[in-house]
Amino acid sequence: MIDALEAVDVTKVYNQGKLSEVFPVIDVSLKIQGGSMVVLKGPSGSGKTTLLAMLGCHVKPNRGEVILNGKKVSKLPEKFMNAHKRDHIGFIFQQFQLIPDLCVMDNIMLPLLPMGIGRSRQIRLAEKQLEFLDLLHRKQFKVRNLSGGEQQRVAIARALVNHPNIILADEPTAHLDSRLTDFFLKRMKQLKESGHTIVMASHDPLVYDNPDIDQVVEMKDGRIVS
Amino acid sequence: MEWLEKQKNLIDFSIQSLIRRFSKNALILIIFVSLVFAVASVLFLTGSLTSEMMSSSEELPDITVQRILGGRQVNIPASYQDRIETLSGVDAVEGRLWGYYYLSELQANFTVFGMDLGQLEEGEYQKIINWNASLPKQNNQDFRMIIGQGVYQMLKKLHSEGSYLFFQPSWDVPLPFEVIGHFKAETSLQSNDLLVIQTEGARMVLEIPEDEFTDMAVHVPNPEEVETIALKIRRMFPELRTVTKAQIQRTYHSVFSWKSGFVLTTLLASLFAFLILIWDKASGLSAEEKREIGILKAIGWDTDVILKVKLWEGLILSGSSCFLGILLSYAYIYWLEAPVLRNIFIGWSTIYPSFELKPEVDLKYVMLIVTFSVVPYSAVTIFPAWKAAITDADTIMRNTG
Ligand SMILES: Nc1ncnc2c1ncn2[C@@H]1O[C@H](COP(=O)(O)OP(=O)(O)OP(=O)(O)O)[C@@H](O)[C@H]1O
Ligand SMILES: [Mg+2]
Repeated sequence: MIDALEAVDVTKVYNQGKLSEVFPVIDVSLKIQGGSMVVLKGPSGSGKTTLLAMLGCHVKPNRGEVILNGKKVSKLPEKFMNAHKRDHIGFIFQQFQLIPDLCVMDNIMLPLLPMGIGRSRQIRLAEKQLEFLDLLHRKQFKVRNLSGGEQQRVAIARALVNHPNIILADEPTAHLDSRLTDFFLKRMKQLKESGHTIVMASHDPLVYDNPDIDQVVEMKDGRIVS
Repeated sequence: MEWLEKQKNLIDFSIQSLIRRFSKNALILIIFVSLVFAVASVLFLTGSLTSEMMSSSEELPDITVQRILGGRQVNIPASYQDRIETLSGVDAVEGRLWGYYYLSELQANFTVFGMDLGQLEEGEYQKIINWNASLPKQNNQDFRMIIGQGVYQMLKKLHSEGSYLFFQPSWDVPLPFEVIGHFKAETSLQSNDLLVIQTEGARMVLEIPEDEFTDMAVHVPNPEEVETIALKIRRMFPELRTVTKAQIQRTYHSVFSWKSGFVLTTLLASLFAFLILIWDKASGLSAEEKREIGILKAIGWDTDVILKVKLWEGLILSGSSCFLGILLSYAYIYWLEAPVLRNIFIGWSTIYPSFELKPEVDLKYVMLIVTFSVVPYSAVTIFPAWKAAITDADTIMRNTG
């Protein structure tokens, strides 16, 4: 089986040549098998978010290559990279990144709008995710009126609505209590069992010590240490 | 099909976004509508008045001949009439009698025009006059007159709309005139302050001797010949001045375009202020809007899709403002008859002409307004959105919610 996601010697530099130059990720190579659940762990500032962003096609590496389902995507022009991102990746942001003035449904349907999907099908797809995440009763609520745990589930629903086969989650449990963390991990396990590939950045032991995790990658100062 | 569905989704989202930022957009809408309204009103009114003037000036004589002595216009001896008529190309020469009469009760000057009222009692003219039916048959045909709508309304207040006594201190006796009718409102632009008096009566009121006229109207059937005939008339009588219909039309034209130019310049200043305002509003995308663009990008929207949405927002907001402004100015001019603005254009006179403006929207003006409002506004809004949309999507992940 080909690897779902692969990083080959990727390096990211910010503020290159300036006094504030940083290398959040240096020469990292990583293979993530299709259908596995992987956790990136490491202290704050070790480069987890940056690596995840490169794997998720949000950020282009300065050096190295990101390979998505066997395709070198990181050197593609933005428009094409974006298309791969849309088709394959669901990203759950640490701070959710929802539009607070829109209702739950509208937030979840957002990724579907430019795809030319009709309204009724958008609604069906979104409701299916809300049901999966046990949040259907909040579908007409404005996001700004939801609790942190509810907002987080909206963010997950939005990441899943387009049926991506790879799910990337940045500190997904940072705002959750242990019960909701448990619920979240159960759902991730379900997705994994249905063939999804899952990569999470986390320093929550509940996450990286979970028995369903296939691989834990530890980072320090922009490099993989184990 | 999919393409159509996509456009529909994006437009829906644009409308939703406009509604979401209601207070900001409502402010822009109000300012936008007022400006378009103001500019459109000036343009429409100019257009309407110009065409009104043009069509009414069609009835002007081909050449008007005035006699100038000592720099003043003086009466023309009737004998000139025959001599001008001898010029080839001249169809007829008509001596005209007109002048002004000051009505002290109303403290206003009125235009007195002398003609054979019999001409108005037949044919087309009959229809533009409300005839005074209750009138007993006049004993003296010379003391009849037909008055303009404005004069009629004012005399009515004095309960004198049926007859009027002309008098000047230098006269021995007052001259009693019977009002046999008044012009209908449609003709007010030309007839509002007019007193049309039977020729002989007019001579008495205006104190014009039997063998003189105020000026003369020369009818030239072939428009090509007008200028040469005017020249010949001036050669024949060096003290005569000629005014051709074309000259008057040119004057009307330039007066209105000057006035509209003046008003438009004032508006330009406000337009400028408006542009600064929208520049400020639109270029300084709020943090919230920037964040939203970042989110859309992060979930996979292409830059051009985001710009399309922003463009739609700009087009919908400015387009509907434009439409509303034009609609309002249409209502203002053609239903409300352009209060205030019409006075700027027609002049403040004692009696305001109360003619009706004919609805006439020049597509050229509509296009002009659209190009100078919708286009720059949309351009101004799209620029900052573009700037926000090309920044890296990863910055979004560093923003705390
Ligand atoms: N856009 C940027 N500009 C400048 N520096 C950046 C940028 N992005 C990341 N960095 C720096 O790179 C380093 C790694 O950041 P990153 O967010 O990847 O760490 P992290 O492992 O996710 O940390 P945390 O656990 O706190 O989320 C940090 O020192 C950060 O300041
Ligand atoms: Mg991080």
